[in-house]
Amino acid sequence: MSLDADDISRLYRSHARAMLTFFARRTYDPETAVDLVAETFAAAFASRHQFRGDSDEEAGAWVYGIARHQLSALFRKGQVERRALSRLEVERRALTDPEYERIEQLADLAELRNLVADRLAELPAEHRRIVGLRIVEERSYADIAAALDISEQTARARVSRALRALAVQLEAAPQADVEVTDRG
Amino acid sequence: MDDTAEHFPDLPILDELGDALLAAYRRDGAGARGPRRPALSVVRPRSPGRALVVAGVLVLLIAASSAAATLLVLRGSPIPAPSPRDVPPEQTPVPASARVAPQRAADPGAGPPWALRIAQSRTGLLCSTVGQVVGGQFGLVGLDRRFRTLATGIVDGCGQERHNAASLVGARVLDAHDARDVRTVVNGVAGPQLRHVTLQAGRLRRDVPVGAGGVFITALRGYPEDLGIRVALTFADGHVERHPFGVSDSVVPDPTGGRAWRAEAFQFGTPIPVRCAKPGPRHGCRPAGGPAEVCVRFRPARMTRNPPFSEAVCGRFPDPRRRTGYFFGVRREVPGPAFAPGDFYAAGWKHHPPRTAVFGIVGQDVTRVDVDGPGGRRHVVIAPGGAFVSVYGPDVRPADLTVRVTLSGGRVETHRGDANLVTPRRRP
Repeated sequence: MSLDADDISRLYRSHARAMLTFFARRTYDPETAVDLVAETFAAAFASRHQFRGDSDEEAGAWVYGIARHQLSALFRKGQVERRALSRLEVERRALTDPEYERIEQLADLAELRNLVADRLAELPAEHRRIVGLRIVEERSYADIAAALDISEQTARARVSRALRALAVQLEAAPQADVEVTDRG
Repeated sequence: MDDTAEHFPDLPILDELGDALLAAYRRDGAGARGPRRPALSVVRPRSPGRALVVAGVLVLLIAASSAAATLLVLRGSPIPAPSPRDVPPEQTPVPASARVAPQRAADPGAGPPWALRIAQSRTGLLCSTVGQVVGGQFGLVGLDRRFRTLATGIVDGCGQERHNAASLVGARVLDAHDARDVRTVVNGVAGPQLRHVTLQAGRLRRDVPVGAGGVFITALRGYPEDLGIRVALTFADGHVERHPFGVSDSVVPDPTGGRAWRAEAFQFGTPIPVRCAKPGPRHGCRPAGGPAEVCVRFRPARMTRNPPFSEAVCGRFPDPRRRTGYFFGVRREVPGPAFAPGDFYAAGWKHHPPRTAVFGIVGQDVTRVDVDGPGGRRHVVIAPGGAFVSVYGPDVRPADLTVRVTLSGGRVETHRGDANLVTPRRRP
């Protein structure tokens, strides 16, 4: 069956909420998750002629394949690709506070946030301070260097070390919601 | 999805996005283009005092290219599968069904060989995952050069199994900061009747081995649109399936083997000038008549940060509802500034090597565009919507090119240099 605009819209209606939750749990960011949902369905429309299935079930599987590709691209590039959205000339507004919180609720991000907050508190004071300057106060590396009386290169290196230390802490934490089955 | 129904009462953004997408689908399907606006996501800054400070850490880690960022985003090794509650059963593989097919595709560089893992989903669909094999384990080498195994719950896609046709066929792109590390892995499962797989990418022609069950896989260096990949699957009964990847009327290859290009058309204001008795739609608005100004530039086909882009050239179509006529520019772009402050139409070629190009937009009465230059006559493919671009290498000058435009009825108009351009109205 070939897909038209209404078919893609029906797919959107059926899968947007679950897909948004999927993205939010993998990116930890509601705004990015919404961008990924938008780009997925824009890309689905652009490639609708390539769909070769016969059923709604297969169409759902197909659009999730596109979603996974978008997620992989985000992890590799560090930003959401907006090529399909750009071609359709679609923009969206920012999330309202209630929407932002609702997505966090759907994705259960509060639990994860508590985990990260706990691990932040366990960092050495120097690491905690420099992460605060970079993340909380959004200072540039030049500003951080001036504030700590160090070179900009040293500031970058210290932020990187601090974030690595945080990452190690998080990796060591129990991850009850992660499926860690492996089959070599 | 109709404009008035509310499908996500707790998330109006999803309803609005759905409506915007549907409107765009219909607009695109009709061939019309709306006013061009920067495709930016407007994100309202949030107070750092919120608990989202922590989320900010995670976002930074996602955006960073350090090993720590990759480690956190991928949450260690093995790379875990998504939570089952996030994925429909059609896309959830049965772990015991997963097996790595014996085919191996050599990596174009020094990386581990590529392979395909096949599984069945909980609803019986066939699923596949592209990965690499190291020490008998299936996973991926990340941008930090570290190998991580992939949990069995991770799949690229699932489809209905077929025995005399492709069940799954695709080109998996693995991006990288360095273009030499980018990989496109063409792969598929096409059943026991598959006999031959032939791949063409530019001058490259490759026969891809076919394994049991019609499994095939091959790896290329670069992006699909730069390679222009065409795959042909031949079955035992003689029928052939053809699958293009990165091939499009909107994408043109680079003459020196670099990144592919595309023409980008845009206009400001409404596509059809209107006069309205009151603001808003359906309030006595009627077409005002008069020409609409449209502009076009060329740039890399793949969206990247800070790409080079050419000067924009503009023209007018007398009747915007039914475009007739054409306009185009012939430009040689050379390394220069990133942008010209206050001049939206100027080029921002940055450090890209020089290119000469013919680019523009044709109306419905144009049947063909050819360019005569060094190397002979080149037929130019026109994208849906009428935009086109033909790109030449750094040794070709605009004066070397002659453009032939064939109109319906057979008349041919020949130009050396620009044709039918207007000076763009400057934005306020």
